[in-house]
Amino acid sequence: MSSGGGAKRRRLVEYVATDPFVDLAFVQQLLSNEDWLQVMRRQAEVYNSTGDVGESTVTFRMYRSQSKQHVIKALQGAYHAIDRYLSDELVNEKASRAWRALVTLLASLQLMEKAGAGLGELLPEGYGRLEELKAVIDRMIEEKTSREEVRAATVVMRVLRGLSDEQFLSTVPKLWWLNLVMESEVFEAVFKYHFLASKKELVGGFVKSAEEALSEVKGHTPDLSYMEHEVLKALLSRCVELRGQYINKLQNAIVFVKIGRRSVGSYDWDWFLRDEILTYFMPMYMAELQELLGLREKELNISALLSPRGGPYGGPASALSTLILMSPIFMQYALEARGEVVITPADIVVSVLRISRARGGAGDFVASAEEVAKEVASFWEERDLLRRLKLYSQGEVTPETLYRKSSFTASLALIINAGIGGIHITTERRPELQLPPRMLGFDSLYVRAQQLSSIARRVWGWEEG
Amino acid sequence: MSQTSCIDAFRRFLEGVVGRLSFEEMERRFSRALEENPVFTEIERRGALGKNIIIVLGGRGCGKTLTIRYIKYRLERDGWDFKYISGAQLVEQAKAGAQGSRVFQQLIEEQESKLGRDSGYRVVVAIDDVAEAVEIAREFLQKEVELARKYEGRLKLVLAAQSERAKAERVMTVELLKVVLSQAPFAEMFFGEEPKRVLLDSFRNSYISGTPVITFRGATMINLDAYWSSLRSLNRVKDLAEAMVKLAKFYAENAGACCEEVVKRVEGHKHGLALLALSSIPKIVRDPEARAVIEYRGAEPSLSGLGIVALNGLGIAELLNRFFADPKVASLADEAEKVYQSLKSLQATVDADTVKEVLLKACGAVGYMTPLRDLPVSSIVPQQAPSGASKPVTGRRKYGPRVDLVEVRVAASEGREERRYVIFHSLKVDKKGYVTSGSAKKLAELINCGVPSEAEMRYLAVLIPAAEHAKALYRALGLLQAGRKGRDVLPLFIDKLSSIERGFVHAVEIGILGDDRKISQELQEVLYRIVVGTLTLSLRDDAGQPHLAYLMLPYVS
Repeated sequence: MSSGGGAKRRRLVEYVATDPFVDLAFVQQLLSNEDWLQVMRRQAEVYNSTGDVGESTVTFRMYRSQSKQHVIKALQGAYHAIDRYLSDELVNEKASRAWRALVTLLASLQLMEKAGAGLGELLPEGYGRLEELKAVIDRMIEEKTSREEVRAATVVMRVLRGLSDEQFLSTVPKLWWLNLVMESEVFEAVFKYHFLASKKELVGGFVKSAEEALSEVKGHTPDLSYMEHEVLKALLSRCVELRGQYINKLQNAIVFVKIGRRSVGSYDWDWFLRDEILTYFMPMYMAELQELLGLREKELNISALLSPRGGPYGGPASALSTLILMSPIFMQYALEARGEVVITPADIVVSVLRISRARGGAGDFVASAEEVAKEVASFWEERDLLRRLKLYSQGEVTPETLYRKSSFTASLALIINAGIGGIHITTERRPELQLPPRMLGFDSLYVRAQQLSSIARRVWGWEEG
Repeated sequence: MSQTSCIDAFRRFLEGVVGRLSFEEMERRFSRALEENPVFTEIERRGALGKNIIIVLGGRGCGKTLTIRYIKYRLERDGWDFKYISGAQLVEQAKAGAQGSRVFQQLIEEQESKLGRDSGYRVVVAIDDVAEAVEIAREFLQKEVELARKYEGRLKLVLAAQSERAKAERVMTVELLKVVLSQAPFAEMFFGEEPKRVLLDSFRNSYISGTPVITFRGATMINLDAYWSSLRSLNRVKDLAEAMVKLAKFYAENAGACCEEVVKRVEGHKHGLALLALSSIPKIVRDPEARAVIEYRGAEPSLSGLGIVALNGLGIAELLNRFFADPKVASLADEAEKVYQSLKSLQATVDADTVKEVLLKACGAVGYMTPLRDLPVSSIVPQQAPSGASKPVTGRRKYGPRVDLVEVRVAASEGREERRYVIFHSLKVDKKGYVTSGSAKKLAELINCGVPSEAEMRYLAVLIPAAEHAKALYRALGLLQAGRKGRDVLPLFIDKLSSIERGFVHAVEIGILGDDRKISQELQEVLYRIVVGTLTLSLRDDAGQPHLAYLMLPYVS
């Protein structure tokens, strides 16, 4: 049977290419060399200030040339003939993703340290301890290679369950990040699905009309929820280009993001299809921002956001793209660790740009912190984020509670201290809030919309003029 | 030989003062002619003593305690009470546990009660070696800042800290500036908005701009090293020589009966002695945020038995002592004096290549740097096979362009060694004054094949003949990489060198003075050290940053 139309389908989820342990092996090699880590730390500083991710360095080239052998050596116990599947192209791609993932991880850490905010609030205190991450990775690879034919999810679950609460919370955000970057094209497909599924009227309308059509058949019992589940699953299969029965293969590719959650009871697909936070927030932020900036086609690929930049705004744009990509992780971490909703840097940028649009364009303006929080809440409401957040959070989520949150000032401090011009603080009535690290009082944001959108455009590689 | 005994007395005095002196000891020894000290004249001239908080910073032996001594002398005259507290004393008291905190409490209460009782009472609270106590007495120090605010104009807080003081990889002085002081209540009343940035920037920039006294809203920072740095220049040998004579007089007067002979001999060799003092190598404070240059006696091996240690009070005292004790040093000073005299009259034009050559030679002479000449780029940056190359590359070009570079090995934290590579490229200028296309092309090639890389600590120092030739650098970088200028691509302008510096470069290059006299081996070494320690500070970019000095000077060890 031909698969219709004769077009050759690309299968996104492939043996070896989307294997989580292959990804980990690439990262493991980088983490185990202290000299390389030093180079990456310095590169992270450069990345934040000029946007160069360092793929022209000798260190990276050295790493890339050795990585194939390392991965084969690390995993030959578990995978037969892995060398046959590790094409040079794949190795180059994975090596460069592992490098980017770690450099940006270190860059985000430096941003937090510089801002004196966010560690312990948006990310765990132990976020910078790479040795912990390395220990977990080592254990996972060891666990995988010491047994025959063991499922990836089982291995990951076993290792994660062995961690203490604190260890778990300080490691998983790093694993999520690695997973998102290493499998970015699979995640792009997942984002596509979320993007599609967020169009409620589209899916709901179809489900309803299909059930109505079926109810003409004698004996059919209408079940909207079952139909919706199957439709969503089919949409996911379509987006990741897998036939329905193979959907579980997707789990391997996104294993850390999918099962590295203690807040979720069961890891079935239904939860992921309807109530997921981490991978749902990402495309919502990206799509909303791109729409606000006037991009017609949506770019949902993570790799594209991490590609090196140069020129004016190269540094701030890189810092901003890291913050945008990290934002869903901030949110997920806060939910995992404290069952609490936070305002992320991406929320602030999105809402500021939304306010700017509502005020009709590119002029500078002042918006009170309350107004920004209100806009965040309305963005969450519009994009079906609020319902999802309420499922996991213990507290109430209203604009009033949001703007009092310390995560609001922490996120703002990250934006301002990263040198992302365009957003500044000011006081209109009373300096009720305090911006770390110097605890400067403020109650409003002064926004230079033109500058902010120029930087945000550079995130997606748009040149000015 | 009455003269000899008078010199002996002078030397004994110097030997007595080069060790660590307590405040009382200092007070006893230096009682006369305090106004004569050039450092204090500078402080006076800038009105530093009028502020409520006075921060005195400096490397070991630059005269912090002496400065406190001077502040006491000056303010006591105007009716200020003086309270001296040493950091070591605070540490000891804090170690006593619960009692320790009571001692801090008592100190504060005592000051407050006196100030509260008598509205005419004025007190100077001087905490010496405060860096020692930063960790344990943080709250106490911040409370003192609060008091200085409360009793503005009646309580003056003097904080003296050794710039290089580090504990467990943390530089305590930097900690004092960026945590204790900038986070103290009312910090902005004293230091202005953004106290942390202001304090750190002032600390870092004061040395390279040579401004020892920086005044803020209600405070002042006296960086004694910066006073000395303003003299660390071949253009100011004369001033340094005068300062040394003044210091010699100051020491001689405090040594007892003023010894005319000492002053006369120093006077006769003052320029030579100044050159010897310039051959000391400043150090860099090992803090990524501060990265300040200071004058400090490090552990580097001293060459030719000269043992020049630092360009500051202590170093000069030691130099003067050696000058009278060691005939070798005396003859070196003699030769240096002659070199200086002939340098003054030497008119030389130097090009970028000569400067490069001198830097390479000098780097080889200081021990921790290795010059590597004519090295194919591929041996430091493995070349990538150019994708889609139309024809195979052969011959010399196979290994990429050739470069001269210096490998700098400095001890970094945790016993690790930091290796930096400074690759030199000089822009050549043709007869019409245009940059030759060959050297411009090579520059672009070096940048494109990844020679400079900040993350891997390879820096490309571009020696540019004059400011108008800088556009060749911008062209080579292109718009997208313009941000690398000042980070790993470092422009250094040759035309910023003065005529005496050019003459110096020329003399060092050929090893011969104007009158065909060959420079002795020992002096040659001194001159090389001047290149590394002093000339690199004059080689600056268009923003006035001495990038080469930052890369080539060792850390405080």
